[in-house]
Amino acid sequence: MNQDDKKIRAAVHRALESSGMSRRNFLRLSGGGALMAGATASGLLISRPARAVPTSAHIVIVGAGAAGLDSASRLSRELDGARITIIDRQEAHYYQPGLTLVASGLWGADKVTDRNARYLPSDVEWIHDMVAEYDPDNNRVVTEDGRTVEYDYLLVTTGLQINYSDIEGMSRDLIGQHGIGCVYDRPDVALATWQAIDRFTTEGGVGLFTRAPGAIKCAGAPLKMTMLTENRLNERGTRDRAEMHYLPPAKSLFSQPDIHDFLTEHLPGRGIQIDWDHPLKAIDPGARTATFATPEGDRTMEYDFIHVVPPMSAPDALRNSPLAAPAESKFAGWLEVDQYELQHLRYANVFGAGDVNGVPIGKTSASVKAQVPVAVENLIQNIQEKENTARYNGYTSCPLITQVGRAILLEFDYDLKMTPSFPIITPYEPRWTSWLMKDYLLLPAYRAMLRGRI
Amino acid sequence: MAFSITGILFVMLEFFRGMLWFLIPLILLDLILLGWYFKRISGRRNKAGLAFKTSIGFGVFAFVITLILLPGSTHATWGDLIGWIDYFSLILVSLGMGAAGAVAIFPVMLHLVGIGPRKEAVQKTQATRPGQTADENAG
Ligand SMILES: Cc1cc2nc3c(=O)[nH]c(=O)nc-3n(C[C@H](O)[C@H](O)[C@H](O)COP(=O)(O)OP(=O)(O)OC[C@H]3O[C@@H](n4cnc5c(N)ncnc54)[C@H](O)[C@@H]3O)c2cc1C
Repeated sequence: MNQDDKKIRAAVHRALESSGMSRRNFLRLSGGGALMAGATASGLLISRPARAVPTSAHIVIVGAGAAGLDSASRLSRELDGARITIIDRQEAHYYQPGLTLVASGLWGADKVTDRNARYLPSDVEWIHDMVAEYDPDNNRVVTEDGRTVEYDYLLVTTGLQINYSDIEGMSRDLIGQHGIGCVYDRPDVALATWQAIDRFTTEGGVGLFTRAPGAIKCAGAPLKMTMLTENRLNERGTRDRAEMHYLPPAKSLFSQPDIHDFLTEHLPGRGIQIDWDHPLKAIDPGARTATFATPEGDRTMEYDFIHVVPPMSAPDALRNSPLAAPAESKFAGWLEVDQYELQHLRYANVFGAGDVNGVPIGKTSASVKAQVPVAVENLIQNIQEKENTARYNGYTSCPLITQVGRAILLEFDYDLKMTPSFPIITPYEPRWTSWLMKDYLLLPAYRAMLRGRI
Repeated sequence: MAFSITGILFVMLEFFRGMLWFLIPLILLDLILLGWYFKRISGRRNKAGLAFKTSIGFGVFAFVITLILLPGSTHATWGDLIGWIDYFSLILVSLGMGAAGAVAIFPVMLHLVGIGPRKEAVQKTQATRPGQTADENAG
């Protein structure tokens, strides 16, 4: 967009504001933005791809993680003349699917650490701040620094927050000390987790591997940490000195039934005891004990190493906003979107992608890859006042690492049906090929996704 | 989830992006060597066939090395390869590395072994040794 274009748009914006008409209403009245874009200098001077949709809509993306960057790249390419703003204070970008490999001593932290700026298209305005308040009735958000940002369309991609405080006695600072690990945080925390696992797999003892109730991102990660630790004990010849427990909060190990069945045999086959119905309630780091709220009452267990998976929720700002699903919904607190169209159920100009969405499955970057094109396409359809055309089928994926060198490449959808991208790779047995893909190909695929290319 | 050809190309681009500082000069060097070869070869006997065979030899070497080292480079052991798909993947990647190695070394080989003596010199030799054919000099 050139300077003249910016000036014309700013003048139009001011004129609309002073007339009390929102830009979005104006765009609708004026025939979906095409007229507006046609009247601007850029429509005449800058040639865009033939498919780019002309509009002067202001689209605000909240969150510059996997879904936010992918969305920004796509919107920037697929719209001509739109003003796109992304809000996020975080400068660093973490390749979260690589954290399990950092926490098991296979990758360094630098391999999963990148910068958001590398992936953000130059025509996207970046506000380095966090949204503190959503005001969808007035089409605006307010940032922590007190800045009000108005929008025509809002795309929420804030991911989720990890609620350490939901476990009595637990905090992020404890990770790496007192035999406590947690893979669900920054790379430095994953490294601290590796230090704790390193000690445990050298000395042995009792290892507890927990899993929070409710929706969590990459539900395979707690299992991967369990199996990788067991693998490391074997490698070091200390397996017989260690007692291992996997403690799911209910009676399921994995949402996909075939994989649940596989794990129900596989874990005990490796001497890992499954303690069903064991949600972690409290931890006493000094005494190295963990308390679980079982149906029979509280059970306190001693440990030498514990992998803590805290409960997760949408970030507070979203959770406490009108955009969150109400308490009676099964997705209470998460972004209330249609699970197929990813459009907000009450605010038609709001869309969501990624972990923040209240959908039955899919808190993985593989889901992000499938969701973002849907949210973006439907948003663009709305700009053009057309019906939503794209649908998300619940696609999610997880390379379930069973040991160093072997993984199961899991892909399934809302129906929990396996949907393998490469049918020749069986999703029912651990294979080196799946591990090879995890080790070499998934990071490049993730980066291509951040650039909106796959 | 279906992958498009362009999607796979973009993944490949990201895979090689970190190595572009090395790959781009290498490709440029190969192209320059290739262009220079065509300049040098005029008036001389073309022994590109020999350069090709030597490059294939190098490619086979790269193939074997990849075959041996690839599982270990992923922290895996040979014991982790348990189905035909694992061996298929290993061979496929190794073939790719072998082919890439052969292609990369070919322009170098053209200069090292692909340029024969001047054609006049060959003709002179043939004139002095009437029974010999030109093919005996070709790679
Ligand atoms: C240990 C681990 C292993 C995983 N393994 C896999 C795997 O193998 N395969 C797979 O597909 N996925 C995996 N995942 C999941 C995957 O990484 C996430 O699902 C994905 O990153 C979600 O993307 P997102 O954009 O929704 O959220 P994120 O990438 O987390 O980004 C959210 C962004 O929003 C910002 N934000 C939050 N609140 C606000 C606010 N109020 N205002 C402004 N910005 C805000 C944050 O700063 C952040 O930058 C794993 C995750 C973890 C932690």
